[in-house]
Amino acid sequence: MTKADGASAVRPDLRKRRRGLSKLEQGYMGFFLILPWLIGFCVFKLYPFISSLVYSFTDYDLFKGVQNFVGLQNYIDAFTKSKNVKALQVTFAYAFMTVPLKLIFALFIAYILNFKIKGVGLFRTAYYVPSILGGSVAIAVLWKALFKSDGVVNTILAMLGFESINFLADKNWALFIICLLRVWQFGSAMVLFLAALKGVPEDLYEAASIDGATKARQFVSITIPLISPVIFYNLVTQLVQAFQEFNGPYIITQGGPRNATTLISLIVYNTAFKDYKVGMSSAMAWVMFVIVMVLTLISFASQKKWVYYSDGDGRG
Amino acid sequence: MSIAMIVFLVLSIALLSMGIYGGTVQIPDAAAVEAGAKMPGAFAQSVAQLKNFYLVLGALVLFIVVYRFLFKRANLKVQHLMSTTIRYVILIGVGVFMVYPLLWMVSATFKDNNEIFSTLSLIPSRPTLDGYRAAMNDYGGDINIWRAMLNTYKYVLPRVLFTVISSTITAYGFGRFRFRGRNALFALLMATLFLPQVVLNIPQFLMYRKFGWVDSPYYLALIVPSLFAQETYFVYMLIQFMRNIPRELDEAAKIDGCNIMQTLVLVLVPMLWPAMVSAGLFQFMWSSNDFMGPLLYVNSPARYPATLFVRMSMDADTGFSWNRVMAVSLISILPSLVVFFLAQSQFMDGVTAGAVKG
Repeated sequence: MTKADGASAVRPDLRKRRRGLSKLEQGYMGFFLILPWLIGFCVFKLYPFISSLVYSFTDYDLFKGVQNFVGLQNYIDAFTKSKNVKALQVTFAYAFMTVPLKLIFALFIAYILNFKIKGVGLFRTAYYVPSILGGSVAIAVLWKALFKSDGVVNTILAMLGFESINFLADKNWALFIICLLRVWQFGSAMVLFLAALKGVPEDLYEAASIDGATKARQFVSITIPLISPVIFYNLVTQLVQAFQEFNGPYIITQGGPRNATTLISLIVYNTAFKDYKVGMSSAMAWVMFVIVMVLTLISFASQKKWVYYSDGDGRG
Repeated sequence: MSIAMIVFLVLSIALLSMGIYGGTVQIPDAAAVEAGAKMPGAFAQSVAQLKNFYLVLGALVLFIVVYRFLFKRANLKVQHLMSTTIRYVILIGVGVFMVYPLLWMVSATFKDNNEIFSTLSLIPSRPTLDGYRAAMNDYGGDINIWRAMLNTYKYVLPRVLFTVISSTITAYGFGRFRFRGRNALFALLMATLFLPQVVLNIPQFLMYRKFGWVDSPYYLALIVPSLFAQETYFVYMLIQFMRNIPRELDEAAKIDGCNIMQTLVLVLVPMLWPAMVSAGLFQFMWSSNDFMGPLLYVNSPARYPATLFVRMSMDADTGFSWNRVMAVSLISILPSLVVFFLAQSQFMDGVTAGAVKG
């Protein structure tokens, strides 16, 4: 993604001109331009980030403030109290169900759309609309109407002769329904895949089919490696997002039935704003942060093994 | 016939026969058991419960086998026709899955409450505007859907404007200038791209409470951070765009006597405009959909934006008045839908420009 840097590295004339800026511009101007961001970063990101860590070692109460320093107690609770452990398990189950399903679905549809299909624009729009609206409360409400015990999906099941299922009250189904809401929004991942697929040179496929490679073989050996940077980008962003899911479970199931859809973000919210235990809540948030961080780092470290960048220096 | 095909054929026959067998299993009711009827075994019971599943799966596998078989036998032209057909069938099938819920939502707003869940038809049998009429009701005299919509755009529009301006300036600073510590700060910027908001929510809430921004009539907690380019996605997206604008343009402007801000406004902004529009559109969508922000920072019902209002009306009505709930929901997303259809191509370009969540 750093193509421009790569380009200037091989074109010394550009670099020289960059040095040709006056001393003042090099020294201060850029800094002044980013100063608002830097101030905002310190106030709205860095300070909250650090204070969250500090709170996590205290029994901070939403109304009474800090009373005591409790050491690692909140973290011990995070991994021993059954409610919290359950939230961790549910969040992992949710993320590892949603992200692969969404990406595979997005790639599959993008792959089909990439054949010379008439009305690509129409299909693309139809698939993209849910991702634009999907985060809204209105759609969560709609989802509830679809999956409630006498909702639309059960009407369909009844017509097909299936027994009706109480999706939102069944602990085996509820999480999957929340997951389905996110899979339904595969559109933005699909648009990215589609753009990447369009970038794969046609002649590679031609050469491969002359050598007798089947379509499946071509897909695995040509398509996947060439679009791997986009797969990687989608994987990381979707993972970070999945671990933060809040709206779906909060509105559709309120974390129920029996905490089956209480994701970490819900626990963090409830602990702070219903139980007023800011300290405990911060500890849970930090546990989540560390998990997301580790997964992101693992993804970045694994890049070397499977992500293929055509211009050598282009690390995302 | 290949071995794989035979295996799949056997599989589908096995599945279908299990489904048919499941259909023949009689599960006696409690009274019959009392009278001495024999309960079928656990296996038979489970098969009976899943009979439809086996039938559907079996039929699907059988279809794939037959399709592959015919495909191998067909000549090139027929093969082409077959694969094109199957592609359209998949695309249209998925399209129905994507669009039906939305169309159902629209039609539900015109149905009466007895009809909503009793048919799947998208055309109401007794069209009525009751849902919309009820949607206009006030809640405790403080808030109705129009007020809520107005409240939403009271913070969404400033946020869009401020985000675009502040992000462009920040992107300009990072994209076009070298200064001491630039690389370290840039790394910091990129790191915030992966920083989960959940970690920041609580301390931010405590801080804004101290500032007196919680439940502020001007939605300060929702607007002020956008003045400081805190949505890293947009900064990143604009930097990526800026990289493709030749530096020679800046140089030429400088030689012509433009100062730094003039260069930005007169030279770069016209080139960056499509990216700025994309950023603005995405910010518009995300801010209108934002639920966590208002949930934390807006407390009094009179100041509720649409997201909170929709949730409140759902909680108040669950169980009886779904046409009203659907009407409120639909009205709340209508502006977003209109904006999306007017500016579709900018959205697609924005997604592929390099950075987007969702």
